[in-house]
Amino acid sequence: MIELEDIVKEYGSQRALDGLRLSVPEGRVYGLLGPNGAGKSTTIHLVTGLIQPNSGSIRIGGIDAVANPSLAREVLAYVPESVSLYPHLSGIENLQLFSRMAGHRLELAESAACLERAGLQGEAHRRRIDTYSKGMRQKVGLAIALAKGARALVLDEPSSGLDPSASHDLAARVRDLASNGVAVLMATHDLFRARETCDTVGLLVKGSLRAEWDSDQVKDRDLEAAYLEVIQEGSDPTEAGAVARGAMGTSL
Amino acid sequence: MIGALFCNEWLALLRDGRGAVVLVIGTLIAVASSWTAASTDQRERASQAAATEQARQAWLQRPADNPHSRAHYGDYIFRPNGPLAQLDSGLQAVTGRALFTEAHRQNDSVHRPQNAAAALLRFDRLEPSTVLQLLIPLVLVLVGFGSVAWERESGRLRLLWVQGVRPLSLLAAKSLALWSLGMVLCLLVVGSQLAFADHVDWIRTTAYLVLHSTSLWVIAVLVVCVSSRLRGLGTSAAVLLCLWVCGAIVFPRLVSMTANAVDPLPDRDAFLAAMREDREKGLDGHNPSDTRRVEKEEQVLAEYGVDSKENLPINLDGLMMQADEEYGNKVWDRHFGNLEDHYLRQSGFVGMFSFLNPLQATDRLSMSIAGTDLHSHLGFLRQAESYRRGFVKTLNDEHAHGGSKTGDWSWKADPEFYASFESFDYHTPSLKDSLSHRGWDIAALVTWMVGLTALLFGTARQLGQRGVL
Repeated sequence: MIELEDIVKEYGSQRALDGLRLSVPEGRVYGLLGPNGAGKSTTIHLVTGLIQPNSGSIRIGGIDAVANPSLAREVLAYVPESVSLYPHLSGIENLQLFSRMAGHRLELAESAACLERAGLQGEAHRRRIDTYSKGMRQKVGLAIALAKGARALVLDEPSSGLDPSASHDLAARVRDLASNGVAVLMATHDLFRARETCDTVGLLVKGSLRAEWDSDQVKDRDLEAAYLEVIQEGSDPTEAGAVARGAMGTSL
Repeated sequence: MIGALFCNEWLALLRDGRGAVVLVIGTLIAVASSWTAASTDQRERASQAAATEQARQAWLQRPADNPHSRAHYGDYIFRPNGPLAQLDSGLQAVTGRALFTEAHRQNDSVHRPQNAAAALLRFDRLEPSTVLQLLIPLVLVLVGFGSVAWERESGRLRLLWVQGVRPLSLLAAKSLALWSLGMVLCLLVVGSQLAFADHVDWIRTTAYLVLHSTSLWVIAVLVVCVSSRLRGLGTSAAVLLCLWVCGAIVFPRLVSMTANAVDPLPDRDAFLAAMREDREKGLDGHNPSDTRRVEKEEQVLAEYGVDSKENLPINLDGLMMQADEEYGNKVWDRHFGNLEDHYLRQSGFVGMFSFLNPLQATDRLSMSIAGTDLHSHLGFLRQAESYRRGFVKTLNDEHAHGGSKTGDWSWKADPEFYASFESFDYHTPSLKDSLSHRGWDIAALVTWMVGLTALLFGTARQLGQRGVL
């Protein structure tokens, strides 16, 4: 569903992504881990069409997102780290407006159902967004993705700043979306949540994917130790692969 | 999509309090400026009507006297306010509207060097045009500087982008919302004026609205494009405020000073001295007044076949005075014609700068539509001078042919003769005439409108390519 092949992205003389390959099939949640400056945000911006790669291909739902970014955006939804909505509108009005931007005119009942499904309680639907907590705004962001009927969802640091309960709730909603066939790409620093939520975890270091573990490997092992080993010792992909194998007992 | 975004912009204005503040203050200013302008207009018209009637009664009730005495008693003539002077008093605010006409003396009331500066810098008075041309653009800047910059800084632009918003729709909706806010304020101002006015020139009022509608579109699009192209709220606000200060305050002064430096007007005293000299010594030093007098006397004597002026059947003094008057008119026509050409040349020069400043184009067109610009004033002076000439000629003709003899200054004309004089009747130029002198300004404003609309498309393309982050 989301496929990145040999992606190179440079900012001036600095190479942010160096031959990145990544694939998120439908119904799967992919967690992209990595230290600050590893290239996670660049990857998210590339997938959402906010920037273009220097080379390589990005396909979303089979659509070439580099050649047809607007077509690719039709099947994609995005929930940023801090969901910035219109503060003068209520949750339901924001949902309706953002859905109109995607070409969907939602009735009130449909809008309320989307918000409920995203986990937002009914009493909050008609309150102005500027009275919402961060977690509530994330839920409206998810509702926008739900209403769009997106087949691919990109989340940027979704659990950042959320309390454990809200974070858990959000993870459950994401899993719910994946169980309905949505491919989810999630950039995060939250190793615990990644372990709980993701089917696959990729570790990005200096613009390259240094390790990739599936859910079984992640759940049975110490992800934090593996993560630290890779980012501290792995300076080249071959070495990193060896580190990852050593840490998790599985090759890339 | 544009409709939804447009409604959202208005909802934001109304719900976050900005709209309420702008509309309440806008309404107060609109009503205050319109009421002030209307009451000033009504007071001026009432005092003008009273003065006209008083001057007329004084003219009629004056005891029978010699026509030449009447020529120097003179007459007051008044220019009615321009058709939309309540909206834009233009040059009327500095030129005045009353003239005293008498024999031998033309009126030079245009020859005041402060005219241009006073007209271009409107801060000295709060009238509807000041609100429309200076304050509403400032409101659009203050409301709109963050229209796109804030969307970007808050990260909402990314969400909108991924949802599939077309950049052109977003920018067009924001421009339309800002423009419509300006138009609401504009309609408040013009509507208040209409409410206070006791007569309405609908054609000129419509033209006035079309002018400001165009001007506000230019400003709204400029604000949105700057907000989109510049990174950061602070930068956008600073640049737009600088542009407003330049367009509203600095540029008009600079252009006025440049026009005076490039093509300076003659000094008023030198102008009057040159005219006096030409009248005494003859145009270009030929045919001085004494020679002209002798020639005219010989011509009249020959015409009547007599050898002395005492034998003339008419009063030679009347003919001589009229001849002198006509010579004075020639001198005036040449000097004032040159001065008028000078004014029009300067006005044309200033007009070209409208391509650099849409506020200037709007200002000049506003005065023309209101009938209060330089051309209207010069037209009034021409009509006044024409009236003065007819008035003096009628009196001189009566002096010459009414029945008196040469040298008889005690002869008195009948009161019926004086009663036959009609009051000055000013003919307002048509809107077409008023605008026919404003080619540069119309072309400039159209160029601004087309150019800014093209910039909107270009900015949308730029936003789509690399401006979202």
